[in-house]
Amino acid sequence: MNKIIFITGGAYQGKLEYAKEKYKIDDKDIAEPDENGYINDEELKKKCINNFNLIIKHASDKSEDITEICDDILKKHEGSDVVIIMNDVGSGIVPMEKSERVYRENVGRAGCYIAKRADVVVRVSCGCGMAIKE
Amino acid sequence: MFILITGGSKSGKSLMAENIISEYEGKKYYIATMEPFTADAKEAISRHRKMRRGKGFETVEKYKDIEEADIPDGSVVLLECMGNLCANEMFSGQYKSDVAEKIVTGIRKLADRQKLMIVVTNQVGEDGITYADETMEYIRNLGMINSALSKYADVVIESVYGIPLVLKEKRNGE
Repeated sequence: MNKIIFITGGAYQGKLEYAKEKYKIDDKDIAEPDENGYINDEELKKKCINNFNLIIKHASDKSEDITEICDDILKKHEGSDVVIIMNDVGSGIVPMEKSERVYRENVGRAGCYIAKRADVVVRVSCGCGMAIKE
Repeated sequence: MFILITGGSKSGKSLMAENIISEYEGKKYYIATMEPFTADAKEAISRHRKMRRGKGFETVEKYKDIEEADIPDGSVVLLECMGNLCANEMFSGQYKSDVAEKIVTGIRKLADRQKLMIVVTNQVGEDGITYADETMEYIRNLGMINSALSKYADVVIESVYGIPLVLKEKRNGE
């Protein structure tokens, strides 16, 4: 049975390192969107998707449906494990800029959507992973 | 019973609160603290209204002076959200310096008389950005309110994308 593993936490808390060690991920298995959040379909098939929040940013800027983006990624991994890593960006002041507000809220929505479907959810803080759903 | 629920933006706090409340019998009140000033606020209000539909809440709009909220004793109350209440107390009307104390006293006074009260609050101090003085004051006030209410609460929960992390749970006799 393939597993959906969702790793969240603030920026620079050691999420990727945790994932690499815990789930035996090589650098070649990591899909990384560019700074604008663009990533091609082939990359998305890799076992580990890092900075998923940037993919949500890209989708938000293009007013794309967030649940469709999530479903699409999960569908690409039917039959294989996937590790999705996302920065938690929703615990600050509400941004002045509309696009930043939409992005921030969509990251929350995407997080809830993925967490609900995930087999394992881990929150990483200071390099320590805490499984909050298993 | 007093429960504090915190978490980031769109992290599933409201749904969690409503699910807890649905297990309680009694007259249910929803204290809405968000003033429908902006398009964003209107959208959020209508989204939350839709979510509450059919769940038996009577909505009471109270943007500030929470101690004056007209709620009968022994009710089941959900207040949403502390971030707005704090902002309203600070920025709408005359500036006050004792906002945190005023709010905490008001909430305690109200919660003491209820069968269950849940307050949904927000985490706003974790983006590491230094803002203008009044925003920093807001972050400080909300942090102080959260800490004070947490001390008083029977249960404190952080919602992480809909997953409840119980930060505090009072056991009988404690």
